[in-house]
Parts: sequence; C-alpha cells; structure tokens
Amino acid sequence: MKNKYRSDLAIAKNLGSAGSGSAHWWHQRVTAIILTITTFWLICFSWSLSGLEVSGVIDVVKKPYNIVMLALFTVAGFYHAALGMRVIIEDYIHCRAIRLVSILLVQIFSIVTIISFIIAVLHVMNL
Amino acid sequence: MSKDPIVIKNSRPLSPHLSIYKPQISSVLSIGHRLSGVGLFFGLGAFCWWFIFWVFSKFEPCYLDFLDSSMVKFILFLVSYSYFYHFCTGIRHLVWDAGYGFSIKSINLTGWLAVIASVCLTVIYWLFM
Repeated sequence: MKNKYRSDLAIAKNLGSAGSGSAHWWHQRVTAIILTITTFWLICFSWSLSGLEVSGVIDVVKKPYNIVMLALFTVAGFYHAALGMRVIIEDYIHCRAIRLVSILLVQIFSIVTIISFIIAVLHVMNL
Repeated sequence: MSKDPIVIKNSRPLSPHLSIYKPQISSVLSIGHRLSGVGLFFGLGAFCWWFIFWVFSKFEPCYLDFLDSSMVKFILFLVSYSYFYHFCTGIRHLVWDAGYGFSIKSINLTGWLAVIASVCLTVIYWLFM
C-alpha cells in the first residue's frame, strides 16, 4: 500500500506547497554567488580604509567603483539575509502569530535599511 | 490498513531529535552556518545604520573613534570570523548544489577544510588590516 504522509485534516485545509519554493531557493543562490565575488572587493575595500581620517574615508568611498560595489554588496546581502532569516524563523518559531510578525519585521527592516543606505551612499557620492 | 488519524500521524517520518543526537562535523557545521547567518544579518544591519547615521550627522569624527573601542573591536572580530565561516561553508553548499561532494568522506574532508580555511582567512584579514 502506498504510504500516505498527509493527514486528512491537512488535505481538507488545503495545506501544502505554495508552488513557489524554487524561486526562494534560486534567489538565495544567485545572491550567494554575488556575495562570494563581492567578498574579495569587501576585504580590499576595508583594508584600504583602515587608519584613514574622515576626509580620506570619504575620498575612498566616493570612488564610482566602490559606490557600485558597496550598493551591490548591501542589496545582495540584505536580500540573501532576509531569505535566510525567513527559513530559520519558519523552522524554529512554531507559534503562527509570532512567526508571521517576525518574518514581516525582518523584511520591513531590510527594505527600510536598504533604502536609507542607498540614499546615504548617493549623498556621499555627490559630496 | 486503517485510516485512523493516529496511525497516519505515527507513520510520518520524524526528524532526528538533536538533543540525544551525537554531534558530528556535518550537523555542527550546519547549525553554525545558520547561527552565523543570523549574526551576520544583525551585523549587516548594524553596519548600515552606523553608516547612515555617520553620513547624516555630517561625518562626526566620533563615529570613527567608536570603531576603536575594544568592545566594538571584539564584536568586529566576531563578525569577521562569522563572515569567513559563513563564506567557507556557503561555498561548500554551492558545491553541493552543483551536485558534487556528497560522499561521507568528502563531506567530512570539506567540513574540516571549511573550518581551517575560515580561521586562516580571519587571521590573514586582521594581519593585513
């Protein structure tokens, strides 16, 4: 006899895959590859900043190459982190209300931070 | 076979009970990957808000002095280790996604390699800072 793993209640409540899980998985991988590459830039960037005064830091940060990489790293990083946090929250928080609120908080925090960060970066660029 | 819900419930697969499960390199690295990921989420958030407030405070020098305090230095060290750890174990995950390295031997080997590489990268990073 074929093993039946879904309970009758789950079938009645129409619980199951939302059918969009692969997009989450794929975006996690795309951002992971972007972050792997930008890591090498991040290491050199932070080395070039060490020991500098305020004006020196601004001069390094406002180079177009660094601006692009900084924005790319932060956006890819937050997207990757928000996806990962969602998986962890779904795995370990069993109370539905707290789980939903936690996922919302992570996503809203990520969006607000990215927008504010990009505006700050553009502000430095225009100095 | 009965369709009694209790029987159906008991026939479902169970995940391993971690509290009575012997720690192994694979399971410890997996939970470490998740823990470091959570840490890096907050680390990235802290870095972004530090930068945003620094820029909109008209570049107050105290923001750079703040990075020199020993408490912040210690946190930065922890974040850098978490970053390199997550980087190394993350590459291991990408290799698995590509379909390689699933034998027990290579899982153990790449696991220890990731640990050693993350320590080396952290040491090299701070040596050249």
